[in-house]
Amino acid sequence: MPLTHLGTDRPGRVPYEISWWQLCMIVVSAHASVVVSYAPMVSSRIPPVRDAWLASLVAWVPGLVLALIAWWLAKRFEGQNVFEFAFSIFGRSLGAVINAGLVVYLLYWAAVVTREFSLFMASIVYLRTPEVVFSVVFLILAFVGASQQIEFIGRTAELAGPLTIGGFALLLLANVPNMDFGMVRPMLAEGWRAVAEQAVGPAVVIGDTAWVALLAAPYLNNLAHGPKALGLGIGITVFFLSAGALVLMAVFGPELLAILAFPALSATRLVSIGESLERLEWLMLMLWIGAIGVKISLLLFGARLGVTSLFPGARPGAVLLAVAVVVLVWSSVVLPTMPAVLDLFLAENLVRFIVPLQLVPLVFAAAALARGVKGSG
Amino acid sequence: MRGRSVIRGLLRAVFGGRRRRRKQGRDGPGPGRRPAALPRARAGGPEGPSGPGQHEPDRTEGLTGRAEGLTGRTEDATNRAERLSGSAERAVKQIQEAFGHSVELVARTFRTARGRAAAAVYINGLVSTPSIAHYIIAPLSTDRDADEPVAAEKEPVRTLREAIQALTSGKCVLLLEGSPAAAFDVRSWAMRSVDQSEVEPSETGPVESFVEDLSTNIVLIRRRLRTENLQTERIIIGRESRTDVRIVYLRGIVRDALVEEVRSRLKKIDVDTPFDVHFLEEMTTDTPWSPFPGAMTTVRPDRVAAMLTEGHVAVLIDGTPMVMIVPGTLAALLQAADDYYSNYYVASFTRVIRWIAGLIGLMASPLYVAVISYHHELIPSRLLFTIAAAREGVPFPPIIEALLMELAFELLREAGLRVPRQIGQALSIVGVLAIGDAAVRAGLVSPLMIVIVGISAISTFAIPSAALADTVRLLRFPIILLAGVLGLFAVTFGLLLIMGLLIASRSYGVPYLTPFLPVSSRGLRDAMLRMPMWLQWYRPWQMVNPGRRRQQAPGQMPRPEPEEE
Repeated sequence: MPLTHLGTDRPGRVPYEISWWQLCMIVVSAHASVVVSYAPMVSSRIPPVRDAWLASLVAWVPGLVLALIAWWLAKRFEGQNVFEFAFSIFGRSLGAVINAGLVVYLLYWAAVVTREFSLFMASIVYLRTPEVVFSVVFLILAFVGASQQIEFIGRTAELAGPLTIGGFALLLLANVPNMDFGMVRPMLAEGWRAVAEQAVGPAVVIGDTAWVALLAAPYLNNLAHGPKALGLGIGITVFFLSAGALVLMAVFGPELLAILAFPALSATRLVSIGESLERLEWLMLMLWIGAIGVKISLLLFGARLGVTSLFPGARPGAVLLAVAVVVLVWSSVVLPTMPAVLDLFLAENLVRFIVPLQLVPLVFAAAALARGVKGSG
Repeated sequence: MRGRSVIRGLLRAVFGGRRRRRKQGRDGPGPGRRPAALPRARAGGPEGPSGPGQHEPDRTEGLTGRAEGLTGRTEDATNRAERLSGSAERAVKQIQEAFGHSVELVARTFRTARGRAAAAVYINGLVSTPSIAHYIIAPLSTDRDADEPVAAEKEPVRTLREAIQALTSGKCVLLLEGSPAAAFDVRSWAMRSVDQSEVEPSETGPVESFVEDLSTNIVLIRRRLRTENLQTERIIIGRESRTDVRIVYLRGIVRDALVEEVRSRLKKIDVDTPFDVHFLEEMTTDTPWSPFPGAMTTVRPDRVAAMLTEGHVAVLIDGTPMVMIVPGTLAALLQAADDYYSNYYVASFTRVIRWIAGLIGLMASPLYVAVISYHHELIPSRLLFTIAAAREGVPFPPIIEALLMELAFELLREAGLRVPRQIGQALSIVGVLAIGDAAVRAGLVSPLMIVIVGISAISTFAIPSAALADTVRLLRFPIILLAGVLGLFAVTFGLLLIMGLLIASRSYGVPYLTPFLPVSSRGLRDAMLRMPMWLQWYRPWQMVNPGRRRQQAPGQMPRPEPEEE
């Protein structure tokens, strides 16, 4: 048995594996980065409803279902990544077209995410630094992550996830003295329709688990633990979406939240512990940057897998470099201004831009069932 | 050209693993496919049993017929494989020609009591000449019934190479007309006695330290592990030095794959002289471009013995007291032997202090630069006024101030290592008090900068592994530069890159951040905190055979005996 199998006593499995806990943390990291920065649980509807916390609690169902479908696909086609079982399901020609579309979508989403975060950094602190500097930095981190395969991304998430969870928990707890629960009462004052509208944002954020699972679940070292990993990851995300919405609403109220661009960051600025520990937003940002790196790494990793599935002779390193450059260029032109980024988190735009990617597992599963295709592994 | 090769090397550091994995499929295998065996760390030299890193007793196969290699060595190497002549006189000539008629080579010819020509060949200074006279020459010269000398250890010598190896190892080669030659161990040379370690001092535990003599070092380990399972394998490395290298491990505990990996990597080394274990480490590491040490090194026998029982492999090299232990992980590099000689609360506290010290050593100066340059809002108001007042008149920006002071510290530290001990102490006092104080008085730096540099310097000294401490000091500089360019964001970026490097690194296949990443609950019992000995039931699982993971019976927590009714 090769030396690098030390620690995995099951022959025939590759070293590029992740544990269920690492998958869970990948899910958490992918969500946490956007939750902390753009707070979609309150920004998807303007003004947000007072029951935004309730909206987050009911928004998990579609995301969990789609994620489990992605896991089911990984189990059905064990030993194959998403691009490989696309070929199995749709055949070589149609599969190539679908893979190409998936690659384009992953690149697009990577460009959007990169743009989101680079504009965020440029807007809140480094006002005179061009956003492209932050884009380059994020892409360098993501490039390093994606070049080291899924195992590296899993381990990075294993580190970044708990840090982000801890930082966010600290933020929530530290803001308890600033909370006024009168701002969230009475419950359901605006009705269930408003809650449902508010729930679109969190639902789409949680729905991101679908493409995360599609890319990462095939590499689980024990596929039976997939539901546990995805469920726990979504559960943690739901908790923070809901608790975050509650705290933000109680601290700022709906009117102020309607005009704050980065409510979570603003809440961090209010934290004062013992009159000496203040201005913790930098601590939050430092903890959160690792989570961003995980998310963009995964997108680049997926895009690279897709390109190499279409061009098997291509060197993975060169492909990854090309992918990163494409994302960099694309991120410079997509979402040109900060208002455009903020508008992205409105419910109607979230549904338009990201839901198609999240429905991919559903489409693949339906086609696999209709054609009766199974994996050989 | 050099720049291009450097860039190529850096790119290979990123893509290099992918290039090897291309053999398995462009993206590595998909999930679930069995890969080809991943290549071992590259070392110079050809593969195969005829490489220069020979594994004893493979003596007759040499470098004959190798087309590659250093110019002019092939023919020379071929001659060494020739058999020794059966005639004592001719054999003496063979050996003298091989050594270039060196004056240290002594060939004492004599006739045995039976009238046979004989010669005792040895290198003066490496042997005990009275022993040769008393136990080798005298019995043969005087006793007609004696066939061979009285000796506890006798080794047949068939070829010139074997004769050279024996002579340079301090043995006497006896050439007897009509009989096979043999080597007898009569080693006796000046060597340092076992003393306490200066580089790894101990407060409460044993103070013995390894010495330059390999045999003595093996004995120091054997005294602590009195088991037949303690295996030592010998490898000769170095075309010119023929250095004796030993692989030491506990048979049955350590994974065979790990031992085989160590063996094969060492055998591939093709150099003139391996100077030290750090040389071997660089030539066999999994991550050749990483600044982090790929293995542990120690001069303490107790530490080696403890590591061997955990399933590590030790590599000893003749001529240096340093021993290399593989695999090396970050957690192990931050552990000290004294952790096991004190109470577990104290040991855990000390370990946490070391981790904090490592972070402070790396981040203190960069954080100062970042906060003072870009993030004043992070500083409490009163402290901000104090800092502003202290920095008033300092002509340099914080990044220059920090780089100047860090460089000055490094200069003082390096100078302190080179000067004689008596002056070294005075130099450190002069450096810290006089130069630092003068710099503040002259307004070149702020007092806070002196404090920060002093704290980060002291913090690096708290790291038990000198190699890791050096790495931390080295990495501090690029992080300071990043801090000066883009503040805390860039510091975080740099930190994440370092973390990425650590996450991606392995040491002989074991992830470098074990047991933190990937998380191993059993390993965490003796990582940052030290659980009580009665709770450490398991060895680190990555290195040991599955059947030997348990290292002690459970339920040994001391309890008062129940009172008899």
